[in-house]
Amino acid sequence: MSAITPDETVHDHHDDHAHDHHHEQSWWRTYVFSTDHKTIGYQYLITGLLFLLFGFYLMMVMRWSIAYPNDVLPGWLGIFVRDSWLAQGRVSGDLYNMFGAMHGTIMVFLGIVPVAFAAFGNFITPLQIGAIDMAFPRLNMASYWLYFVGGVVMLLSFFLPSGAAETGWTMYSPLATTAQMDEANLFFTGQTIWLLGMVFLITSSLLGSVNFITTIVNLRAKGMHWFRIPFFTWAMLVVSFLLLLAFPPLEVAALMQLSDRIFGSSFFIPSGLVMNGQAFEASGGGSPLLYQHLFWFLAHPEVYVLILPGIAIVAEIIPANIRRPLWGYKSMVYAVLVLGFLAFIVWAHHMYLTGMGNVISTFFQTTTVLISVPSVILLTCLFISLWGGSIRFTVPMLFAVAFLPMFGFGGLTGLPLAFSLLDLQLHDTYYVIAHFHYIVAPGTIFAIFAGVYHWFPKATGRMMNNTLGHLHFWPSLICMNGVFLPMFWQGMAGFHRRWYDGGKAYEDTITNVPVGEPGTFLGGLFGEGKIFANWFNNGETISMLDLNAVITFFAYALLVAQVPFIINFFWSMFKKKADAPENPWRATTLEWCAPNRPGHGNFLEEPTVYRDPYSYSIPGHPEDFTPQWEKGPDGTTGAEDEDESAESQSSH
Amino acid sequence: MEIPYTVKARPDTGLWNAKIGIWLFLASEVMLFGGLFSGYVFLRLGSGADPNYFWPTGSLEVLPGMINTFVLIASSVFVVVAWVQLKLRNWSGYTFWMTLVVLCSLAFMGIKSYEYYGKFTHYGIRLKDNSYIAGHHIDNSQKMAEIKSVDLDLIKGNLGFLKYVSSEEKDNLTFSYEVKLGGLVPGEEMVPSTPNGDLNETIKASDEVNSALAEVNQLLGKTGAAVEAQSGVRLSMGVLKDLKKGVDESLREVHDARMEMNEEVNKLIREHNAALAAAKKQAANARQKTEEDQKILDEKFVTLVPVFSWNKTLGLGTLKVFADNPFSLEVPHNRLRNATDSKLTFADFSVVHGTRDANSVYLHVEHLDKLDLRSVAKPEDSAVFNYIAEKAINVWGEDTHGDAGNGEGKTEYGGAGADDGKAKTKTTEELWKKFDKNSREVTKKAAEKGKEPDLKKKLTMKIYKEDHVGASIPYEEIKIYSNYAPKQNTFYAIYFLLTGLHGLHVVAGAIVLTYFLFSRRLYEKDPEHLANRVEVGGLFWHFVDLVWIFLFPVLYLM
Repeated sequence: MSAITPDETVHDHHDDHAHDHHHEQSWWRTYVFSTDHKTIGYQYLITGLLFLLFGFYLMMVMRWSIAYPNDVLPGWLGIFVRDSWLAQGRVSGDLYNMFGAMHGTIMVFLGIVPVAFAAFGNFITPLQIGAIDMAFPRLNMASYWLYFVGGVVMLLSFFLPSGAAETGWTMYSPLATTAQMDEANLFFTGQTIWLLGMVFLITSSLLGSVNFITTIVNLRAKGMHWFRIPFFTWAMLVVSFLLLLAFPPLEVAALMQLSDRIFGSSFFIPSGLVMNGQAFEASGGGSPLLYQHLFWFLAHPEVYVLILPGIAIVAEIIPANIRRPLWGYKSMVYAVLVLGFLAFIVWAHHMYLTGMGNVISTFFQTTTVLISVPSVILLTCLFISLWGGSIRFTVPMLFAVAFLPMFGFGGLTGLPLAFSLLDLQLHDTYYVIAHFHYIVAPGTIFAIFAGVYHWFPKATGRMMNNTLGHLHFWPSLICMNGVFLPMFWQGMAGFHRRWYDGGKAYEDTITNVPVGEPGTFLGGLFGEGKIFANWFNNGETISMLDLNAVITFFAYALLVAQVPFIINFFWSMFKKKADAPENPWRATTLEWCAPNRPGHGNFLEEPTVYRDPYSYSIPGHPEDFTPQWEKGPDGTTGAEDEDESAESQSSH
Repeated sequence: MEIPYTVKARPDTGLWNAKIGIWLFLASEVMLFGGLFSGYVFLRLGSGADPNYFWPTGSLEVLPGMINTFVLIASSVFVVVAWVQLKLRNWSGYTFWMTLVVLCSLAFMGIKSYEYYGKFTHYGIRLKDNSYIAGHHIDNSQKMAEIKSVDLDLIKGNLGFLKYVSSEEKDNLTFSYEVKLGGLVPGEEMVPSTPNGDLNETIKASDEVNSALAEVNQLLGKTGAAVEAQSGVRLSMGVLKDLKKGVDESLREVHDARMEMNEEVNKLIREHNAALAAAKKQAANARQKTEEDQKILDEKFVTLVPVFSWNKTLGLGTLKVFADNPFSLEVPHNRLRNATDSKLTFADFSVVHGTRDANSVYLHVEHLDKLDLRSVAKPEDSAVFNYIAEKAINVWGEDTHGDAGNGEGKTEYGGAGADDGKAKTKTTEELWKKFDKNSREVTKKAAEKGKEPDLKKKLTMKIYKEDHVGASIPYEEIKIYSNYAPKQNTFYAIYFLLTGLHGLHVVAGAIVLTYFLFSRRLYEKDPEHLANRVEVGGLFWHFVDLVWIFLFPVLYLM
């Protein structure tokens, strides 16, 4: 019983209202304080993308300092930079620290998670399980607005006399507790406001995750058994649990640090702390390690919150574009559940250098290596899926396919970091930076782009432009690698991530070494008179230090590479002709049976699910895809009677 | 559009939405309090390794905590009864039991406030030799008279000191000031640096660079009056802002000129270096270079060193203002960053110059109630004995039992001062005798068992209020003092965080449950819906109760 009839393939917004059972709402209720999960999804997307752009800007200022520590910050880069933050017109160490801390905070908590999890999750999850909305629509709205307020609070902290927080996105105590203490009003300092902003964001994610889980458990359409749920929604479920259970300890850490800063307590202040040659006035007796434990108990699961939505989006796009089922769907589901569990017991691998003891290090080393198993299962399933498929290289598929090796790079380079012995060498170097940026930037962000291109027709009724898509993809791919690949080499050469001059100070001792010795592969690229030397350094040998400028070049080029996307996004959204069919990719999951630009209530009629999520190329079927909502002949799974479906669900 | 399963349970999961929601929320709450309890364990275990710090076991009054435990347990039962009444569709029964729940929450908060008040008025003082005393009623005021000048921090200053000037004096308080730019602006000669440090050789390479440098250096010497001198000014934030603005604008001109010059010099240096690089490359390509040639070329590279520009945070910092008539003020010691006999530094870095009252050198405690010398290397030489005194230094007047505020502070310092050396007053001698007796007992008992004596165990003592033991301790001797607030030690920090957060949960729960009391309309429309809501609220209430059941033994008994 298909919800699609030929007449309805192209829908416009105004048509949808005819099918809705709700009255017209005011402009404010429709676009601003909306309780519709799709509108909230768009809100998250737009806000999150803007924050990503701002985080990118912060990074550009930092990259300038790293590549050209002696040059005055150019005016076009310095538009958001206060004079007093500069040292002789150049980026000061304090400015670098502030922008570094806020780059991390904004990218993780205000950019990637809201876009990858909240935006896509909100828009797609209810559609994919055949629900008319989230279980708690008003909580959903509250969740967005708490996020928004948290973001605004973070942004406003830049305007305080002290500037924003400046002790790294990790806010390690006692550094973070004692920073910016020379203000008349301790509450209105960047460090304190950061904690306040986090409390908003934590509350937002708490409401969001409760909502997601309830929706997935209780609002599935008829026949949507647990193992008929598309992988994307499974991942959302796991991510929600991660957020639900991992964030509260960070809230505890934030409250304790707040108390340390405002009330002068000593949760994280050890006895006998000396600052600037003076005994720090506090009772002492606290533990800096406690902060790190609480922080990483959140922040490691947070890593999986960053990447799982990426994998999830890719896992939806790949089967639709290879015209065959996702290979190992069930093992992927089990893998993601195991991953979710293991994510909670690996946190201390961020703390090998704290001297917490060999036994603890060994335990966390073991669990960390263990967690690579489900990760590799996920990646391998996606890779094997490609085998023997008839691949369509649409723009979303390009991003999705590029995601696989990029995520692989990021993931596999993480293995050495899991070993406490190797971590001594690599800790806090650019190797670590490259490792996790490979996962998040060409990983999750590519998946986000893929998702935007993939679901854009459903959200707007319009296809995005293909040519501009290619113009976006290829330069982005090259620039991403141009930025992050050299960081591995720099990291292994010992470059520390907090050098605001990019290692210039150690020019005479360690940083001014050639990237590759003559005769080696890298020497052949970066040696005197070789290709990259000619491009970037007037033919001279490129040293590890010179790589800074190369990376900065690619980073700035990466911004230019996003211009086609921005043009494409808005041009496609506002073009007149609604040219997208209801199921443009001929995909099988439920969101494609809703009309384009679904109205309040999503579906024209309540969908019923008859089969597995990825029923592509079933032998004997006239089409190469059989949507979940289609009854019809079926070789693989028996279509159950609608009345029985409810009972059989409980058996799972 | 109706969201399904808001009231009726979904058949296959057997749950309605809010019930799933509340259990998930409670899971998150378990993690929140779990994190706090882990913090408690971590801190308590950590304190065992710290010889200067003893976990203050048993320092909370058990009775109020125990009453609160029973109050909460009772309210948890009442909330279930209220829910049952709703299920029986008995509105009046429901309101009766629910009102009891809300009353219980009020009782809980009342008892909690009583406990908090006791903590906030109880002070603990740790001396620099790690002696620790605690007591009630302190005087930490800093009285300063004959104040003639104030240093204002133009960047952070918020005139906080004005709050502590008595109102009649404040009315006639006027100041005069004068601002000069010269000398306040950090200037620095600009010199280009070279790899080998041979300046002349390098600069010769570009006369243009040289002449530009000269211009910049000339500019560095430029000064100007930013704001005209004035007197009879009543200080306000507006005045401070205007002052700052005037100075800012004036400095901005110099700054801009310098930045322009900066760009120019950098451009010249860049061109110079580019030309050198080109020459070097040419030489390299022609394979005519010798090592020496290259070395010379290398030396000629000029590193970019921009002019030292004005930096707001480093530049004009403080402004000295002079009071037209000397004034006085009184401020609690813990509101200050620093206090000496001639100046007080406020939180906003304003410095007030004057003469400090002699009694303000000491922190006065009226009644001591605890003495703890466990962390002191030589308990018998503890600095405490120099400052403990009967009725101490009487800043509260003769009658310490009556109204504390009526004293004039005329009584002379009666304790054994620093000039008395080791002389002990009667009270301290008695105290010391007790310690001595205790330690002798321990030594004797240890000798009987053939063990090393563990004196540490006997080195704490309770002092009764009737003994009227007070103390006046100079601030220089004090490591840290505070009331029994989070600042006191990590025990009180975690105590307040745990109970405070729990208290917030009680308040939030009570508000929600009170709201349910006024849900008559929903009851008439859909009583089952209200019953569901009360069930959810009740689950939350049980959780709040459960947290307290863990909190009580952990904080009060263990």
